Amino acid sequence: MKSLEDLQKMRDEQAKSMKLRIENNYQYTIIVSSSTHALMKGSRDTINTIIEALAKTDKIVKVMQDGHIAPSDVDPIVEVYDQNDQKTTYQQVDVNRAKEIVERHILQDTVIEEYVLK
Amino acid sequence: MERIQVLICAGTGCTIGNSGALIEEFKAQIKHAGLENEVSVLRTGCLGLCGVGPNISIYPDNIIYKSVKVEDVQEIVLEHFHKGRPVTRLMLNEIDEETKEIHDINHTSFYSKQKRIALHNCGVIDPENIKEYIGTDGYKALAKVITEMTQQEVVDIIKDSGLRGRGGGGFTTGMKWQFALNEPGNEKYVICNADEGDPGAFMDRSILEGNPHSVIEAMAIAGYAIGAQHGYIYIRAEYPIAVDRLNTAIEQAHELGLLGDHLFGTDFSFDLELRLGAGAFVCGEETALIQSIEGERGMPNPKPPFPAHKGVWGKPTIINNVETYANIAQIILNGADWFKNIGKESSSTGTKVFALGGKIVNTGLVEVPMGTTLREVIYEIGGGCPNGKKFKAVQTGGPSGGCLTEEQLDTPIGFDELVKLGSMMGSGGMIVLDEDNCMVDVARFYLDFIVDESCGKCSPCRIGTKRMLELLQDICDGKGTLDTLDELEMLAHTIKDTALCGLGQSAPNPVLSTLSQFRDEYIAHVVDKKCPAGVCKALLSYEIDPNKCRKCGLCAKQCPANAISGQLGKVPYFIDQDRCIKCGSCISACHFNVISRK
Repeated sequence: MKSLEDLQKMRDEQAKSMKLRIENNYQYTIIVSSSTHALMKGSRDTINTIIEALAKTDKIVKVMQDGHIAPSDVDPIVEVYDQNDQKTTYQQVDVNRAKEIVERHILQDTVIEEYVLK
Repeated sequence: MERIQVLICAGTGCTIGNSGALIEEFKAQIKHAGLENEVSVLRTGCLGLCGVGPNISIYPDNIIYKSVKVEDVQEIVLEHFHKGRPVTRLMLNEIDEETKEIHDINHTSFYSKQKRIALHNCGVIDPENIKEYIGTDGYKALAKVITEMTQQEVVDIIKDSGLRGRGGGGFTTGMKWQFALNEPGNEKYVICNADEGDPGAFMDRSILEGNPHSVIEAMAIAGYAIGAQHGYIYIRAEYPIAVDRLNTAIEQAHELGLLGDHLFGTDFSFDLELRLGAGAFVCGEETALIQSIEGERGMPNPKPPFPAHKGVWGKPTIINNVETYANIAQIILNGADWFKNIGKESSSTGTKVFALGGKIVNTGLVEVPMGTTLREVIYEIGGGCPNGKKFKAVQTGGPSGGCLTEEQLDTPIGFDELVKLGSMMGSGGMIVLDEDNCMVDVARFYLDFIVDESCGKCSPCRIGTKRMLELLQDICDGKGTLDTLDELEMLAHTIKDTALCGLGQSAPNPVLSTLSQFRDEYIAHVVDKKCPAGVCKALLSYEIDPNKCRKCGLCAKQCPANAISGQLGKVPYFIDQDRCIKCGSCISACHFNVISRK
């Protein structure tokens, strides 16, 4: 460690793996349904896809599971909350839709109308 | 990819509660559930609620589970991590009764009034990994100080912050540093006093266990500020986990070049070593501590000369407490004004960590801004006295402090405020006493501790405290008179005026403070020969009401001293007061509640 820059570099590198703990100013919160039915329909792939896609961005997003969302024909369900607690519910979110939600809703702040559960 | 992090407290309290086995079990269960790529397990420092440990913290949910046992791990992994259903029965978070929504942990009554500065990384980072400390801006303050600031600028910012020593005396830290900076010569020393000895206090231990680098970084900053190249951490050997973590931390800091020669490419070099204390209370006194570091028997010396002029090895030395150091890097990073603005409601600045103990629901570690009232700490954060008992007093400042009563609870916490009431901040032990505690007995307990720990160098402390203890023992044994109280008071004042060091001078405080706040209890002991709280055995008597006695003989069977006589079914039973040892077995044996304790 020879300079402040070296330290800063190590800090930034390390902070990435500590994001889950030290962030508290989230731009979005994403909740993925994880009821037995949703899990059967592949919601674990959905949440892992979202996490991986987000890791490539610098957006600060909290991603959690919720096993209490009622099972439904349109599982896996994904809820996206913005900073004003405004909720958008997406239906049948498979791996592809999950990637799209990150690309369009999170990165470009646009709701993808055709996937929204009405 | 990782989506959940599990932090398991590995402080002393939770380790005793078997948190080490929890780490292994979590890893095994997570692997079993096929979640090893999604959930990671880390050890961390104190989360605060030591009384209900082992505690574990789950991110990003921000949920804390308490009293977790190895048997609970599988349920947490399958229900929470796999299915997203937090295990409510173990949760510390409060739950909305109607919506079932889980409240944020920072909104629980235990955490909502707290502000963590000295404890800021405890329970968040892995204390055995220096990179985690760096990830939360660790060593940034040191880099800033060495590369951008002059020595005087560093001292000025600490002075300006109003930081006062958290170890007991409450001396302004910046002033201490200024004195040492002003001294000529280039051989100076920085010492961290981690000889935490007050009964019931464990703030410093938790900081060292949970965030050891904060102390190391601050000591290097202090070294730069006064021009010292060497530091000692004087820590008691009874803190094995803290010693281990410090050794690991020092080693890791060396590897990264954050301790050693030419820090951050400058001419400044700084190194640290540990010195283990054998657990003598007096070694927390700075001149005794210096003697002990030098390999001598730990005994205080008269001041002046103060350590800032002539300390360890006869060279200028600053000695600060662990918690004081834990504030330093935060002050450098956030500025003196930020620190000054915390705790405005009192005469002091910043926060204070307290170890809450005794008759209180939430036993553990709390950090509150100065100016928070004692009532808020005891009732809102601490949850009040358990089992609906009535609050009697709170003891602050350990053996050097005093007791505060119900009427004084609305006092804002601050150095000067507590001294004004006849107690003191001390290092931060806060022991709550309820109606079942006898204040004479409490005073005797502290004095007993002092008599044990007196180093014996000066006669007021060596002989005087022993005599005081004997007088208190007389009072507890029912042999005291009103004259005993006067004698006790006179002796206390003499010791205060004549003892050599701070420990001796403050040793009579628990007696003086209980004498002034609870004089009626002392009078009950010496005049009525009664102990109102029913603690002092010699003043108790157990009696059987002969008219109500059913002559069953159960009490006589239980009595270990054969003090109860009577005849089964014929003659009522009777307790021989001379033989009775006041153990109370007869009361619990009697089915008809005819035995009374007076």
